[in-house]
Amino acid sequence: MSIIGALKRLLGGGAPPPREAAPAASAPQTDKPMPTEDEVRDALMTVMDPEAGMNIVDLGLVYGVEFKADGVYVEITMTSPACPATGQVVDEARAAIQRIMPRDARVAVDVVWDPPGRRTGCRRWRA
Amino acid sequence: MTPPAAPQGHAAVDLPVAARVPLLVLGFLSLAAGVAAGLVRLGWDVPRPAALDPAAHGPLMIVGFFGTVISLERAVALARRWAYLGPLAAGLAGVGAAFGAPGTAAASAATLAGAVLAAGSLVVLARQPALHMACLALGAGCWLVGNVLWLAGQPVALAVPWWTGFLVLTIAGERLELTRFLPPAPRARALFLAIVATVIGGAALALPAPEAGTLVLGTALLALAAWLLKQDIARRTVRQRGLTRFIAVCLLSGYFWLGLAGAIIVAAGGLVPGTASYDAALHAVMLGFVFSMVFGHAPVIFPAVLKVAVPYTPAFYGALAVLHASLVVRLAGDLAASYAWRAAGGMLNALALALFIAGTAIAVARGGRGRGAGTPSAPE
Repeated sequence: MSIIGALKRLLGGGAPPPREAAPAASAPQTDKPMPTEDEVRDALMTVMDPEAGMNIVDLGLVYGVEFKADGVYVEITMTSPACPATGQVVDEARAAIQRIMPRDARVAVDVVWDPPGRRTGCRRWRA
Repeated sequence: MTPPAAPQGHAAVDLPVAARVPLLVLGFLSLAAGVAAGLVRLGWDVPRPAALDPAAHGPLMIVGFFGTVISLERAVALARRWAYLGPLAAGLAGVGAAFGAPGTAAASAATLAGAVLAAGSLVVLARQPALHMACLALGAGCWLVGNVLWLAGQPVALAVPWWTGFLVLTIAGERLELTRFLPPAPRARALFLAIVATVIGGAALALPAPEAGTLVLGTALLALAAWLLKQDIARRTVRQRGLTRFIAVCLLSGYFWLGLAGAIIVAAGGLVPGTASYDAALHAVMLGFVFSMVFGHAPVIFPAVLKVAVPYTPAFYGALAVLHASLVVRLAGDLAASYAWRAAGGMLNALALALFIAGTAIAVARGGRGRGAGTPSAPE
């Protein structure tokens, strides 16, 4: 590798690193069936916590997925209501689910804070 | 019964992203002025506002920069416009201190900022009554106390233990929050609570008895560093790659400096302003510990606050390496009573911060708007 090439690689030049959860394009989403709960959770596995280096499903932050007549309602939590990244995670989660939903289906992502009896802890780190 | 969720549809009451930018600009103006003041104190002749008082170095860095940034993060999390009064007041306090605002204007603005941050911290504590939230609220309270002391005309050295408590408890609370993925044992949580109490107790004792109080504070810092090195998830995440590993390296190296600061204070029998140990300990905490946290979390916080992408690049390690090397030089100067080495270290400290700002700006320019934080597994 040339010196210029090495410098470019060090500085991250060239193509930016691929994103796992690119924002949804406004492509038509006709003919998509309503996904299953597993498919919704798989979609949410593209939403990463960069500090933990893991997705929010494996981190145990997805509390519930409920299907209603008009769409899907998801409950997630964050580690703290003082976290400024909450809005960003919610947006990414909504976008990830929207990509697999039928057009015009509603996607609601609510944030809840540590309800009693809910499971916490990271499954992969506890394994 | 499920506790109330974070407010949905809060976009209408939150501050637009574009309006947050000036707040961050105020913070970075304070940083620039604070660094200039610090360099002047070390004998460097650098461009600076004519009215800049070198003695404002501490308030500029802790109130003007750290206070603005932390208040801004809290305001974004709260998503309420009133909360942005905190970073606005803190930023104005910094600018006021930099340009010689009359009387107690800067300190008054700082006190307002502290009150707003404390109020906001109580709101989030009510949303989630938990130890880590209480720690954040206590940290905000420490900042308020320090700012009130400054407003009351007390020497900055009396505010420093409280300002140290502000930064240390804020970071410790955020790290405790993340231990939910690997929950510490009840005994470890009890120890954490004892350390928090000792930090506050030391700062309080430092009012009537500065050396004794800062000795207690130093002991708490040493204990906290050991606690974090054992309990923080960074011990696991450092084995990952890309941004995740970078954040962990920043954290773990920062804990080393926190522990060293505590050890220096204990060895010196407390903090005495004007001494080499004072310079070494404070800069180990503020630069080595707090700024390591800033370097590591900028790729996460900038996207959250400003909705800009900050793609990870291994070049981020460059500024971190210069930061640590500069501290080694500075502390060697303190240890050897070498003014030249201390001054050189100070200039290298400034270089590290400049590299960090430049590197972040370049990453933002590369990333483009709205693409989010750097991919954790970006190639190295």
